[in-house]
Amino acid sequence: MALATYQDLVTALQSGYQQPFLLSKAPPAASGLFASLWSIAGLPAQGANPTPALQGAACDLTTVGAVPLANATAPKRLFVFLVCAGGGGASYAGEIFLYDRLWHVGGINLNITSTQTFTGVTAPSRHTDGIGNQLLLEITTAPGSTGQTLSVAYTDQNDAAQTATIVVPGSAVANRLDFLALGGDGLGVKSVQSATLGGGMGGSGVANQVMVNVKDLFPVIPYTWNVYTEREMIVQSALLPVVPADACLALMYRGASSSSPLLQGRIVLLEG
Amino acid sequence: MGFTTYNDIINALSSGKGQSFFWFKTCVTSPAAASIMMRLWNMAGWPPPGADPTPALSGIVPTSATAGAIPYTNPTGPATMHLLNVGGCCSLQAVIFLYDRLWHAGGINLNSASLQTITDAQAPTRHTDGLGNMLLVEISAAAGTTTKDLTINYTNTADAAKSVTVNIPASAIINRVLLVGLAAGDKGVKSVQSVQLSGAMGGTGVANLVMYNISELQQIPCYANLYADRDLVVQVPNLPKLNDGACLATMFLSSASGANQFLFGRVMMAEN
Repeated sequence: MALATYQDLVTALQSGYQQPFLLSKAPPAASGLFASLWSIAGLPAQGANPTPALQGAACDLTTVGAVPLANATAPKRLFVFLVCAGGGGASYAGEIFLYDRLWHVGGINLNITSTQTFTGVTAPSRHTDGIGNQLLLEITTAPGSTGQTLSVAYTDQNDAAQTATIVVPGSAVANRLDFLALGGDGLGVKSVQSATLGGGMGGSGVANQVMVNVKDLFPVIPYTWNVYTEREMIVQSALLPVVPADACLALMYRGASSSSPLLQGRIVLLEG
Repeated sequence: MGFTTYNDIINALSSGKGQSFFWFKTCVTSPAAASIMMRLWNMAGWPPPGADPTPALSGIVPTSATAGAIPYTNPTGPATMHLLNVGGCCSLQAVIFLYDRLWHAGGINLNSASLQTITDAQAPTRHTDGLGNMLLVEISAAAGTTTKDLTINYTNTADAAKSVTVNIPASAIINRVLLVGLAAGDKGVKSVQSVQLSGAMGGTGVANLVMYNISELQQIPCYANLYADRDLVVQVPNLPKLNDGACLATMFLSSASGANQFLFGRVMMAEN
């Protein structure tokens, strides 16, 4: 199936649907840093940090925290047609991103140096070939003041054992998101095995590891404070992003200041 | 082949013929001053860092499979691949450039006044007629303290031997990019034969020579920390065709100095 014409798209839109989002107080993000909206209360419902600790879980559209979606009726597919967003808060600007949260694991202790081995599900159920998959570190509890390198053992898209690394900054704020530097050719991740910190950071920091795919990560809405922005995804942008079947569609943002903005908007989806 | 109507684009995007890639890079080197152009080819992030071409003075034609390139999949012939949307963001106000790295040669000694002859491949395999092909110099090890001119000897689109000179500033920083003009009346570069400095610069400076096609250069102007994109169908209508195997890479023109600038963006393409 495909949308053959713009008229088809208009027709599909009439049976499409929209999902609002409203996050009353997004986490403060230092200027230019990514911040997760996964565990922020509001719409969509607040996502939980994966438990038990160190037990991986593949995420899908039923995972609490995901933007509520219904899979398209095969052979149709689901597309993002329109995204609108606004931010409130002094001197605030930034971008909202849509991404498919493929897999995550929680409870990574940021104050121990022993290897923390992941159990349970260690691989995503989408993008199972690993190509384009990347890893993010999501701080859930701010660590102590000593920066340390976190090494993550993973299996790459060629089934080779690799190590990804990230320097976790001292006192990194909760909900901060950072990409890890992958090892090998850096082109993908099939599964994740363990994490080891180079030294204690002090404090009681905790983090999640999150897997995303670069093909399903969209910086869709740049906006400035107290201004509402709309982004149509075909004529205005020539994008028409595909939402993979079973996707755990989630939001993150990147701020131009360290304020805690109100974020609100809606996502319009259609099948075709 | 090509897109005949806008409906063809909608059809392509909704039938699995689109490819989207989120990319991110951290430029570890400070541009040193405003209006300095910097490469992102070798910077950590995604796509993974590319290497300086080796062996020294040996020409190489990189492709989409070369480490450092956005690893898209070629279209199924006779279809052709076209860019639909390019976007980007930088910690500083900047212009981000997306280009096809047609050809490169490394190991140019910036402390030698001798003629340095390019061996092996001297010409690209894309844009073989040379029309619109231009050159840039990438500093891969900081130059010495004496400014000198680098003369590049090339073959133009009319198969005539020509030369052009570019000034290499004293102490040019690593990762700086210097755009090179053409000899008067020339319309492009078919191949590169040799380079020669007007004198030794001192130090241990090294440079790469890179060929790109100016007609394919995509420019994304962005304010600091504010994502901007360009719809290449309606907003900036040129629907650029990607040659099969294009080695898509990025560089940026910075508005100020500052190390560790974080840049990210997205490339959307579709085949017809």
